[in-house]
Amino acid sequence: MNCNEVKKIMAEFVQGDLPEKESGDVQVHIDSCPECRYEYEAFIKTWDILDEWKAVEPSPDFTARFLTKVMAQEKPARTEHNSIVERLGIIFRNMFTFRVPAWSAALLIAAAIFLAQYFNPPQVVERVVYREVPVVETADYTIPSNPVVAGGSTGDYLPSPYTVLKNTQKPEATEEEEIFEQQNKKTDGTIERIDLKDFI
Amino acid sequence: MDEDLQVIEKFKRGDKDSFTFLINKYKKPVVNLIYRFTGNFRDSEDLAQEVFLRAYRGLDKFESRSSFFTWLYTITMNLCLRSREKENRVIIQSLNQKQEDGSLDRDMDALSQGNPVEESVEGSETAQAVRKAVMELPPNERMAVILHRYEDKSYEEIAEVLGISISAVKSRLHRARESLREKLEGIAFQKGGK
Ligand SMILES: [Zn+2]
Repeated sequence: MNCNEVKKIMAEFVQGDLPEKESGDVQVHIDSCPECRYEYEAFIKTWDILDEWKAVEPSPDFTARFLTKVMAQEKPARTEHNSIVERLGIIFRNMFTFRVPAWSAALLIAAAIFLAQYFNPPQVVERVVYREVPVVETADYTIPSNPVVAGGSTGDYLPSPYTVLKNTQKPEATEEEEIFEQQNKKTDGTIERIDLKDFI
Repeated sequence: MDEDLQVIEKFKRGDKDSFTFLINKYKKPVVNLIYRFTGNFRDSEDLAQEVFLRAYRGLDKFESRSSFFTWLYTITMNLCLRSREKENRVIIQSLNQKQEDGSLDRDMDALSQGNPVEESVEGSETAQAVRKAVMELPPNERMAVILHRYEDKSYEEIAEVLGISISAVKSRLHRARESLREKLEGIAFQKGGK
């Protein structure tokens, strides 16, 4: 092997990427050729001094800053959402995000049904219909790929498991609601009252 | 199952707090990956925050076929490249709006150095020279060097992050070694080396 051949494959040699035979040949040449040995040392030394560029430490509040940012994006500002349905939406959403026990989901649903019964304005009735309500276990909730920033429209942050229907008159109770009422009837036949203030 | 995957399983089951573990484990490598790629200390933390935000949002879709860090580093690399595109666009815009205060030269210089907005970084003369030499590598070689030399990743891991073959990783590293040898030889021998 001559000097030119050795220089051409020096980087591979230094990095240990040459086949054994070729690597041995280069080694033999380097041992006897001062010029190529210098070249070899240059490769080693220039790679070693890369250590001089030290790593930086992330600032101590890096994680806290991240968590604050996530919270801010996940929870829209409260003042912008005044209707009870909207607030329910936020609470419901938080349940999925922060693992509130399943029983409180059940209570919330009950509250919603009572809303429909007790607040019954003559013109517009807002009725909340929950679908696939996770009464049993923590639901598999996916954070929307496009989380709402403050000021987003109402529909954006309503959690996916339910939809809000607007009707001009109070609708008949759905099958789901009936089943739910059945399940929540007290032994004396009355349905337990739940104060919404406990949630909002 | 490795530790990361266990945490990710918890996350997917709804324990969003478990993500904190992943941030604490990977914030330093991610910040440094960005810092070394962009040469810009000032923005590297903000970009790292963005990396974790994307990871957080996409983690439900993460499939454990690859390791978590490979996935995270891929996100990091993509963001680094995109942020450079953005910076270059800004520079090109400023080139178009012909300026007379000499800032155009400065921007041109920054563009060719791959380091648009860095204020002076502390460190020895050698550190400065190293930083400059690494920053002057073409982006694909630079990323390979950072992953291999600074993050201690294997050829296989680098190939996965960069989406290239192992032999491509090797040749990028060979070329990078050649350039670094050329640029840093003087200072390396001056320093005495090992
Ligand atoms: Zn020779």
